[in-house]
Amino acid sequence: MRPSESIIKYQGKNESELTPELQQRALMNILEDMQKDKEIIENQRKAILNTLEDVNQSQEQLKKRYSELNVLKDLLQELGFALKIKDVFQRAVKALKQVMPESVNFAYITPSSIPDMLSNSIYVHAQTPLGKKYLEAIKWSIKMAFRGLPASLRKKRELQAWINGKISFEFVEGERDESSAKLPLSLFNASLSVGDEMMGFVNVSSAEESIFTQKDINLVNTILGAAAGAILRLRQLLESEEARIHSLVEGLSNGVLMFDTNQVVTMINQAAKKMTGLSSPTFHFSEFSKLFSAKGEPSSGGKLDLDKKITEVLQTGRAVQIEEANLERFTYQVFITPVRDYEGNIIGGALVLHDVTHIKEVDRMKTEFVSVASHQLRTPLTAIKLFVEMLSGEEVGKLNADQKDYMDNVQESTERMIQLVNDLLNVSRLETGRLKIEPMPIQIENFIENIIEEANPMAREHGCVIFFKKPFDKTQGKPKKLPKISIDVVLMRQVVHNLIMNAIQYSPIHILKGGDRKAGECDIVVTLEQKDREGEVVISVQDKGIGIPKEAQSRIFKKFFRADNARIMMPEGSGLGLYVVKMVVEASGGKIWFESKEGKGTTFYVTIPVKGMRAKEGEKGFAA
Amino acid sequence: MSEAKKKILLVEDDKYICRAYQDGLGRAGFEVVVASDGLEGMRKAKEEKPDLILLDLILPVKNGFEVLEEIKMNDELKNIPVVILSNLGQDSDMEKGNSLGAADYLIKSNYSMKEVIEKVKFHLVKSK
Repeated sequence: MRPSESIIKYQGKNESELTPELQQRALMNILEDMQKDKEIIENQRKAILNTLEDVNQSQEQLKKRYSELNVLKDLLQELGFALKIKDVFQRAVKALKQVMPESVNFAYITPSSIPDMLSNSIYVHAQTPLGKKYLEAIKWSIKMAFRGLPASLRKKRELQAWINGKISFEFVEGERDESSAKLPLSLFNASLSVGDEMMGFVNVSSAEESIFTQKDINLVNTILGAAAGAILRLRQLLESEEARIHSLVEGLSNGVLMFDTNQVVTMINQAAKKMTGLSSPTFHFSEFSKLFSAKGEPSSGGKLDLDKKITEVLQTGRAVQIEEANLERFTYQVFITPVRDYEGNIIGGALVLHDVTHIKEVDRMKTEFVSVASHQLRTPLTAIKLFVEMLSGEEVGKLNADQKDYMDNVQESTERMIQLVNDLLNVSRLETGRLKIEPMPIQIENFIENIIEEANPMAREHGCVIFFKKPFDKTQGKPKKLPKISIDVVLMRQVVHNLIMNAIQYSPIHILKGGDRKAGECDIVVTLEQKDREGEVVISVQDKGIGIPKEAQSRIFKKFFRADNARIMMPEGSGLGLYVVKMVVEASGGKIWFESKEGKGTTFYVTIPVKGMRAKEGEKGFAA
Repeated sequence: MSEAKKKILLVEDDKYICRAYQDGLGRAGFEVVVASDGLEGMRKAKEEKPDLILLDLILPVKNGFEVLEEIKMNDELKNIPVVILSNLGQDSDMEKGNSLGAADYLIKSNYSMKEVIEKVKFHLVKSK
């Protein structure tokens, strides 16, 4: 608005009527108003600025408060691990340092640990080098503060005596400087006690004057108070837990040891003490491990390297199991597992000794029995076999038809018995779980071809032909080569061989005139394929034999079971073949099944996991 | 011109089995010397210097493995092929036999006389 306009409005007069004086006065009034407005705005601005400043300050305070709370929180968390009072104080001081000015020094005493204290010390965390004068002043201050404590405080008299005695200073942080003449010009003491239990004193001091405010003192007391409360609760909780676990572990019949990351044994239970003859805790693990020897581990020369094992456990965080560890006359199964804190960090380990002496003894006797029994049984069988063979072969005189016939019968029965003993031996080995599985990566095609070649003579005798269908890539229209797969050759050979033998033996022989077999009558097809890239490998053996009757199918894998038609066809079978095959296949992580129709034929399928067979330690040696 | 008969030392403690192998091998054209325990086996080996030794494992006085070890340590005898003929059949036994230097390991009850004779002939040729 132009001044002249406003003058007109102001005065309500016409422009022409306005005199210069009036105009001037009007202008002055307007200026005054503007000035006033300016002042108002200025005041408002100031007010806003002040408010902003206040907000800022509050924010700063909040930040400080927040960081203090954080410090407190961290401290409380850390206190979870510090059950030793000295640790508690160290952590409290660490927390306090974060909220106190830089030049502040801390000192504390912890009378609670008097009984096992080797020295009577005041622990000092100095931020600047301190001299004798300074330290003595602190000591004096603590003494005075001490006297001021209520008489009802527990342990006061012992503490009194202690503190009046000889006390030395131990610098946890910082150093002594004899040349320094500084004195603690500002200081105060705060005690850490809960209820009537005195835990200790913290002395907060500085060479600077008047550096502490009441707020600081309150803060320190708050922090220490909170710490004290938390410690007490924690301790009580831990004590009851410890007591519970302790009685649990003590009562175990298994020996238990616990050790820390430095391989120092921190706990050993009653049973372990009895087993090892070691009694005091806190010995190094090597004392324990040298008591043990291993069976049959050639590389270590018979010594069991338990030290290496626990290092392994502590480093990898994976548990380790040792099947046989010998200590004097006893044999133990040993389990070593890592122990973690709540954050998942490994803080030590536990070792459990399980006495298997008796079991191993029984096992050994069983194996010995089987060995001896099979040997004892085989000896007379061998004699019979050999003599009958020579008699039957007319090596010591001619035989008439009936005599020959009788000899054949004896021979057949003898072979049956020999086969039975062999099967029983195998079964026994499988059943006691002492079967060794040693997979090695091989080209399965070649492996199967070998087995077929071995079986060919027998096949020809029966008039059978074995065909091998190798893996074929349908999309590419050409044979594909399988990757090498880990299998235990000895075991798998037994499996495939057995299936092929069954296929041959249970195919009826039709000898035509001239002795030729009708083509195609006994074709055995062995197929090897891998369904998809990552799929299992499937081996199948197909025959056109007598098949498995429906009612026998559910029992075909059972020990000693023989279907009726099989029994007629081949009376000397033991009924153990498929039982053994199934056990081997399943122990290696594979599957076995079949499709069959009586009178038409049977196909057996065996899968091998593509990762290969699972290894298993057996009779010899033990986990390395 | 016929070659001299090959001499086989048979170390076997069961008298029936011993007689059976003796007769069978004899009829197959071999000269057979027998021993019925480990100690006698060692003695006869040194005395007779056979062309091949058929060795049982379970023997009185000294067992088959011990005999085998001794034979292999004896300069005069170490090149004689030793075929273990036993009824023990554990993998561990066979491996042990192998590692001690046996030429073969046969489980008696699984082999007919004819088959044993074949094996003997095979190892005699092989050892030349």
